[in-house]
Amino acid sequence: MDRTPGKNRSLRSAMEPSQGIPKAFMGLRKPRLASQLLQGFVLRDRFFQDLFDHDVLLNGVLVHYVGYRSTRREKVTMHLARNGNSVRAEICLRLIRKAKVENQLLEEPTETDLLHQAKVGDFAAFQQLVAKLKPRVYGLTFRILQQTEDAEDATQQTFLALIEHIADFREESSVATWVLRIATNNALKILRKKRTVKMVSITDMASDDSYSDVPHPEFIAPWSQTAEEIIQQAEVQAELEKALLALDDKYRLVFVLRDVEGLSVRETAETLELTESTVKVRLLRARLALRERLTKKFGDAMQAMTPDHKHS
Amino acid sequence: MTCEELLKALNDYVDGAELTEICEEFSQHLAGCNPCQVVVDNIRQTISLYQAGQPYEMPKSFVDRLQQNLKSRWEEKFGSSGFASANR
Repeated sequence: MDRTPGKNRSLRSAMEPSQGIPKAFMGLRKPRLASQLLQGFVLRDRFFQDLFDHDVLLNGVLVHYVGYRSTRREKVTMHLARNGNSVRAEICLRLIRKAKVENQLLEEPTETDLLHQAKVGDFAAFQQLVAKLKPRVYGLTFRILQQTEDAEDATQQTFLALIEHIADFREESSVATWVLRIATNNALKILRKKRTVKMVSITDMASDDSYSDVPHPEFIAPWSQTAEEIIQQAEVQAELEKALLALDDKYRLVFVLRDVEGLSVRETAETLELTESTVKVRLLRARLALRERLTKKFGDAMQAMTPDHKHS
Repeated sequence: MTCEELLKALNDYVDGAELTEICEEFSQHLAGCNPCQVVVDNIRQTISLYQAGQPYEMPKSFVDRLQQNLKSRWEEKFGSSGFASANR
């Protein structure tokens, strides 16, 4: 991968405007494709230096790459990796990334793209995936555990587990959902260790898992501002966390997975090993409890109202 | 509509479930019951508030440690060949 200055100079001169197809590309097996390729590009020095540095490896491969969408590119990479061409696979991945960054030719890689690239041993793709998911994983584990060090442990365990099990992802859910489920399990392990004495098992059905004695809304008033306006205010974040902390573990878990992280009721149930109907009851209790508390804070007392009927 | 039905319906309604019979009945109820409508709005706003929250700031020391530990584990599993691109 050494760059020889002479090559770069000749490349630069080959890249002068209005020269047609750069000479560097004339040796390619498919010059016609290469020229089509170039016409659509915004030419950038560094990108083409890299092309030139690896032109022996480029024949056919890169030309294919740049033109196709992600699934096709991944197939080619997988193929190269399977056939022991890990160096080529890696170089291709690097060039694709450069092309993306420098020329914005291709779509932003999705989490699934990155996972596929990481599967064939691309550490940079793995790092990108971690960077994308880290805030959510940390946020989720922090909300479950309510403590910085525990959230750090759970987050680290989650990504170490991701390395360990990267080949096991079956695409039955999104990458994010899969990783969030691993994160929840890690957080639960820590939570269980800490709460052995006082915690009723969160996965057991309890007497309050029915609708019969769900507390009725007490303070009913429209909020004076929208959620978007409220969230801009100082101290609101702390208030939200306090409200979450005041919930029982079992209600908080369901609310965080379902409403904050957006898992479906079924995914939440599977993650927590609960039935879907238990998830729904706990979700209702969590929502009503948070509503009560936040409405006392953000509701417009002047417009408070009482229902003229009692549902009981 | 019994209390239990109403509460179940409330949850499904907030989640935008497809209009089951109960939901249908609940929407009819909502149309004539302002307090219930406000409760539904309150719950929806509560959820948006949590979704709109800022991500937690991760301590810098943790971010560095995590990066280092992930790298070592990756090396154990895949060998060091996968690093050429990341290190350049």
